[in-house]
Amino acid sequence: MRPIFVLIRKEFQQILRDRAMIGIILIMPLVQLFLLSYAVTTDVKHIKLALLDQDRSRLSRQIGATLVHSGYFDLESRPATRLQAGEAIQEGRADLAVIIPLHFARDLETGRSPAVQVIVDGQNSNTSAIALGYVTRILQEVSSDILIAGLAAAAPGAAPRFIEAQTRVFYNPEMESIPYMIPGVISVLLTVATMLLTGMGLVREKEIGTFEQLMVTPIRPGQLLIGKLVPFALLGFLMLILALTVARVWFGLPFEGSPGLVALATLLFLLTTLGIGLFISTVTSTQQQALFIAWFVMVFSMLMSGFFYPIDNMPEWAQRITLLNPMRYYLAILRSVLLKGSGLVHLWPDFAALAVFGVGILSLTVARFRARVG
Amino acid sequence: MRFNLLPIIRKEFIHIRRDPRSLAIVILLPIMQLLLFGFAIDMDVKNVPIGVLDYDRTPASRDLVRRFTGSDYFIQAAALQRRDQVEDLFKARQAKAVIVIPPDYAASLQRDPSTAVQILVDGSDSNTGAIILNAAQRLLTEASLERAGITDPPLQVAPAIWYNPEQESSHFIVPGLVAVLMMMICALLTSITITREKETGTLEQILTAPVHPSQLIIGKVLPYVGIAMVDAALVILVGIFGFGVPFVGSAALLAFFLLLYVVTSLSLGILISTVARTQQVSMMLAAMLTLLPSVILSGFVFPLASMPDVLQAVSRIIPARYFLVIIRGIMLKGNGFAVLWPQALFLVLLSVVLLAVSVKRFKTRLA
Amino acid sequence: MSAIKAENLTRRFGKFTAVDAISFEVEQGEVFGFLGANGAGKTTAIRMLTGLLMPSGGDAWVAGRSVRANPRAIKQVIGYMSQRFSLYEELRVEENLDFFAGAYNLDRETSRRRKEEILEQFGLEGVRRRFTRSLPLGWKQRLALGSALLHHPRILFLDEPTGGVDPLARRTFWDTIHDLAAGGATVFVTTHYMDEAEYCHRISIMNKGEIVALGSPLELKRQYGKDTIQEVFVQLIKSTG
Repeated sequence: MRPIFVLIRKEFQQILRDRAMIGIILIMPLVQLFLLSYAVTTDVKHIKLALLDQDRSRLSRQIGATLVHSGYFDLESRPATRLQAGEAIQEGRADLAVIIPLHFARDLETGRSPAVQVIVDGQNSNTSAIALGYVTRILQEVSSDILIAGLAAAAPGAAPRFIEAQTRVFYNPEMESIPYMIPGVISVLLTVATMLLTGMGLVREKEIGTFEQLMVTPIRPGQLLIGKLVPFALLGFLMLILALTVARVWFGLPFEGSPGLVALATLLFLLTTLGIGLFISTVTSTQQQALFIAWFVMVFSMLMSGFFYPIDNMPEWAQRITLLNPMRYYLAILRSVLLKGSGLVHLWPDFAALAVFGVGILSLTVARFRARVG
Repeated sequence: MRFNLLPIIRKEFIHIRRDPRSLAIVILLPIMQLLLFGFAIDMDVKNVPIGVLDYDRTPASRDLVRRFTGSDYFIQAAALQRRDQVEDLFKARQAKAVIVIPPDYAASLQRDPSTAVQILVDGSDSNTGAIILNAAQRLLTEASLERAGITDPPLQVAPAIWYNPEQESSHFIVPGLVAVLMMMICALLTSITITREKETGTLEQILTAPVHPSQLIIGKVLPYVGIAMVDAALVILVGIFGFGVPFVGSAALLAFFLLLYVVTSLSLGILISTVARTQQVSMMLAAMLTLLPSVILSGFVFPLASMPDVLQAVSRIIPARYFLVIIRGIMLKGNGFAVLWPQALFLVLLSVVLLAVSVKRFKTRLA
Repeated sequence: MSAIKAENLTRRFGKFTAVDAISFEVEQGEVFGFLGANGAGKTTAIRMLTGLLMPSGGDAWVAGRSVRANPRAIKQVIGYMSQRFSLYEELRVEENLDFFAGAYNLDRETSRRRKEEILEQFGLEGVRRRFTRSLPLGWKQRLALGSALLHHPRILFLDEPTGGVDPLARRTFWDTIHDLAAGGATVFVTTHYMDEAEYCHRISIMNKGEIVALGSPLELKRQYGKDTIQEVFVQLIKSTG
């Protein structure tokens, strides 16, 4: 037991000595939490609008006002010509140009179904689609208002019968994106800290020569392994608690489900990240190499976890790939337990998958480690 | 000067060549990202799994259900019997919404001016939730209008999507990826490679040779500049030929700006290496100060205009933000120097400041 | 029983034979100098003897334990100091000693006692709270030797222990080595400094993976008709190509 104890103590001494490291370990979670929670938003606001009203009728002015007051757009300019409207987009001054053509109101009266022209800067396919969606929805509302008014005028009492939606939003009635992002931030945070630090830690000892010194002592490979795993697992839990506390206090993140489940899922997840980290350190000889491989794994697991992009939206083959990504399961568990209060009844397939990955990866690492070190 | 520089460059190249795995990753990583972003990531929400709770069970109610499940937006994941099954469905993530049709739906359609259908949404994913609500609303309005016999709307919307009419996300991602990549290679790799020499003690040894610190640094970073430029070219070429990303503007102008941006990124990397004593710290700092902001606060994926003012202010000192405007402007819009000079000016100023600070620090640390 | 005994000890890396069937014995309490040109196979040999590297052929016994059959059993009875300083720079002097005491499985009480003894023996009491990084090289080497002695090893392996250390410090270092040998420890040491070879009871000279000479410094000088071990060494390396 003594060797394990001194190994763990040594690891903590090394971490705590390095003021830069301790700053990083404490500050990184907070920076990422705030940065990502606020910045990673799929909401699209403050779209810069160039509005060209060639019709100058009561209706066209009304449509213009509706757009400007909708809350989605910032009126950037009122260009005088189509050319100017195009230039505003070309030079990046406007994201969106709306052009109401001449005789718009007259054509509408005579039932020619005139078109409002919308030019959108499509560089960002995502925001442009959303911006276009806003304009379309607003114009459709105008359209159906006109329609209903027309029908009512033509045949009073024969207004169409509407099927209405009574909506109820569960768990997040305000529809804020932050509660959904935070579990993602936490998963990434844990992965970065544990996988990178363990992956680089052992290789560092090889690089600076202390590894050989360890190898001539009677320390067993298993003890060395535990001595490397335990400190970083503890560190991971510390970060989890820190991040959850800040998320709760500052962002008001709910914690609907059982803390025990979160702890269990975190433990299983850390087995995979620490396992991968240690595995990397057994197949590399410099910290640079370890960093590269860990980086590769991290980018992959981040993109394929459903953090930024819902897995359901991915093509079939990509969805199948995500099944190989432990972070996918952890993220799903964290989100469901925290936001919805899901229990083991609902999440057992995810737990089972995490357990399989955790045990599998760790045994692979232990085998590899024994072969290399023992 | 050239006399002393060559051996250092050669040594660095030997390091890189001895380690083909790292080189492979440096080249493969951007390609993997490109493929994942280009093929696997689709922001369109479609085929959302929904549950159906139909208390009415009439042809009219079945017709409404078909309207939902027959659309691109939804697929039926479960047919419920009771109301209390809804939450279990959400908690187990088997459906993201449930449509509840009341028992007198068909009767009400004939009788009442308006008939209510319940849409229950799992709001934990706010983005998908909002899209579900919009889509449901649209389907119900369509159904209402169709029942009234109206097909032609009084006015139409004629959209024109410039620069990216097919709304391909790769057009957007490829230039952004170049910006992030250059930052990663130039800032992260160089800071680590310099810190590595410090950590293993070889830096002191090299500096006892008649080499000026600036020569050492230039010699160490030049190979990475080469790798970065090759990587950038690779991503752009795969983007153009693999994903059909347009390249409207001048390649020479882009190359010029790339070099400028490389200098900025390198200055950041060198600055980090003067602060960090171990490669781990250097890596963490580089990730936090260069990579994360370049991905998150540059407008790479997430729109800057939607962020809080504080973050928008911070984004103003992020080099990637300016380079993104430049590279997207050149590739997609064909912008020239006349439009892009303010961004260029900023990159120049930032590089000068960063380089001055890091050279000063480097000298005081080692002298 | 001899402290170290090698029989046809061989190590190949692919086609290259780094150590080619060397045989020798080192007696208990002996200071044995292991000399050779760079790349002669010294470090490979020492890595096999300390259980870090498995031999490709032959065997060696350290304190009667086979390096092939039982490399782990060797580790409790040997101390090892490598040519590169390889303690934890970011730990304090006494923390390094605490760590290695624990690594050698000493109990808490013994650890504490041995730490104090080592600090005193190597004159490190004044710097016990200093960070190892900030010590001059000569002090670091004393600390490294001290760490290797915490568990009273019967056999000590020193791989170029005095590289980069000033002559006075080297002299003190060798005094310590002789004290240890007088106390019954066996010291197996590699060195580049030929004057240091003169301090050894016996030396072997390796070239291209083979032992080309073995004996006491006096015997070797007489056998080759030279005044110094340096001259013996130069002639041997030249004549064996």
